[in-house]
Amino acid sequence: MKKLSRFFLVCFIVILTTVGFSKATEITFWTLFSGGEGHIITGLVNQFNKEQNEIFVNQQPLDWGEYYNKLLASMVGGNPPDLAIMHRSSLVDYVERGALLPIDKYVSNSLKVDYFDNILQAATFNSQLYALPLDAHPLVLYYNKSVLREAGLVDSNGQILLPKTFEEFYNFCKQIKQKTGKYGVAIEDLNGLGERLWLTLYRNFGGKLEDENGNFMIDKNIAEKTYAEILKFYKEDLTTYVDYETARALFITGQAGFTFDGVWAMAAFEDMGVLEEIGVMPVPPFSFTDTPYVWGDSHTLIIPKAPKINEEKVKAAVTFAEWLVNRSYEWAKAGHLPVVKSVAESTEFLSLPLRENFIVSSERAFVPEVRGWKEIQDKLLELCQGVVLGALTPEKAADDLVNTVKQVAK
Amino acid sequence: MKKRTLSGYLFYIPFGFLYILFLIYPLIQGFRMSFYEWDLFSEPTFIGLANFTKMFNDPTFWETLWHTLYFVILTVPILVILGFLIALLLNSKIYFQKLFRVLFFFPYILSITIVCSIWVFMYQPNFGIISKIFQAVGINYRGWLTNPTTAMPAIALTTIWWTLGFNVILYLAGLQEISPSIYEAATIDGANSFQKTFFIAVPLLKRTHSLVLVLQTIASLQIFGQVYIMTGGGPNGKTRVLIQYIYDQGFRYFRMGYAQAMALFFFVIMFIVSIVQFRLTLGTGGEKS
Repeated sequence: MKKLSRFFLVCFIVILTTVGFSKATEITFWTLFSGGEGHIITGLVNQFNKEQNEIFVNQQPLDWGEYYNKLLASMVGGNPPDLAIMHRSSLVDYVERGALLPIDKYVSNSLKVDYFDNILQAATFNSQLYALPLDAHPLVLYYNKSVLREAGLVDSNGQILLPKTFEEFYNFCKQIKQKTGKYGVAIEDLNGLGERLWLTLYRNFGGKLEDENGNFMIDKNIAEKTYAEILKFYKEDLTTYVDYETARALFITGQAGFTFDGVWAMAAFEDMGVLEEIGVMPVPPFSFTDTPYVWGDSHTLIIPKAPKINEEKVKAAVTFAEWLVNRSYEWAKAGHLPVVKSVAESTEFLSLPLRENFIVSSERAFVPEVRGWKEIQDKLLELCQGVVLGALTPEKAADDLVNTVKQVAK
Repeated sequence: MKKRTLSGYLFYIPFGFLYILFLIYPLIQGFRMSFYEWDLFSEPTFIGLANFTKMFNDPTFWETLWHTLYFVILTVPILVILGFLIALLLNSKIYFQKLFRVLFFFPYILSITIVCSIWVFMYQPNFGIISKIFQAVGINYRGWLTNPTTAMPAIALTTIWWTLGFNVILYLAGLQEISPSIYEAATIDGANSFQKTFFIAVPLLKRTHSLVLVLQTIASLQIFGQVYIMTGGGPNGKTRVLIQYIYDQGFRYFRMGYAQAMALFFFVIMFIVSIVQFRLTLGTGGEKS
């Protein structure tokens, strides 16, 4: 009797292990999120793992400062994760080096048609889809209601006036300075200034990023104009040279009327409990701008090309990636904008605070697509800092920038 | 005798194997790589000395090299002299001697991220404690890390606060090795404490001086983390240092060969500096100890 029950027990365990473990395909998923974003993504992964038992997603959160080094090392070492997050602006460098797997044939058509066109285009190279964009995080303009009221920027009904053009925005900043003595706008000194605002203005001035042959370019005259436009705010004391934390602090403590920041600042403002006093709007284009643009990167989901491609794992990874994109209203709580129409128009998304005010931004969002972008990006930051600190003239900066672009994109 | 030599080598094998695998082999590979163009993914192409000619014509290379040397000039003399003076103080009979020793060494055990984050917060223009203190005494200066002129000295100050404890420990160990009988003899001869410090302690610590100086110079030349965390190389690239540029070129701009060429050049500089310093501080002939 005892022997028999043991035999059954062993049989039971054998069946359980083979059924239980051979069925689920385990995929590793590398992410670079922490804080609020980290909690949301971990919650989503757990939810996915609970909902079904065919795929098990093993999320490995990495420190964002180290993320690309480790991802690069894993790819070169031939042992990459099955699925990973990559910024849209980094895609080119990896796609052109053959480091990513084209996923066109694995992605369902229903999802492809659900994407905003500009977003799907940005993940497509040589008519092959290489990534599934998860969100868009464009630059937006935040305003502090009490500062605007104090500066008299209200209409006859007491409604706050918002700038419709960039020229108007400049005049508003001037009025804030004159009426209240406060800064018109707070701009952080790194990417916010040199990359995000600079590129947005450059394109709204009519500057192109590609020549007739599709090669990356910067128009020298327009670059110079862009530097001069930004310098104006510093020269007239409408803003001051500050780091990211200070820019935010100036803005939320009511020492500046406006600030440029990414949509991700939304979540931070909510945490700080200052959302009541803050409004958000798309970055206003110039009155003469033909097509308004705004800088906006994306988090995308990519599959690194492993030395041996495991079809089963690739399919599992895409299945999970699609699931994640379709639930991006959860992800949008971190401030990001959804990139698929079904989510962007959903009540779940639109009921989040202030979201309907800047949804338009993700359809205008762009990032430069050029091999070696990081080098140009570093130069943009350095030069714009030089201009606003008075170390470089707009002309010299534009010259340097065009030279760098020529060297990098040759 | 022979048997003993053999077992000696046997004991060396585990270490020697790892040393060759993780230090000598990468060093040779790195040397080779500096003659190639390689973006990590495609096959490396041999380009001879092109990386080196590019390096000598690259203004950013020279600029970042200068920023690195500037950091060395700002930190090494202070870290060595102040380290010595504090060690002297902690070696004399003072109240709470042990407590002070712990306090001076304490920052050194903190991780670089924590140290830099604390200091970034203190340098904060609007609510940072340093700007507040300066405002309290009537100096309205805020741009510690955002002004190109003060950014590097500000990073140097953080580094001094952080790493001073290590030099203090080295000097303390050196000071404790000096036999008390020498001081006694000097006291009998009528030497005062100033004379005892500068005519006994300073010369007898010759080896410690050269050790501290070389270690400190090498450590300061390798400046990277503090800059990376505190300023990212800005403002206007004025704190970008050579190691950061090497890192950027290799891992962010995908130019491994070029990064390797610069690293090799930097290695040679460090090697020469170390040898010259050892020579100068120890004198040419063999040292009598």
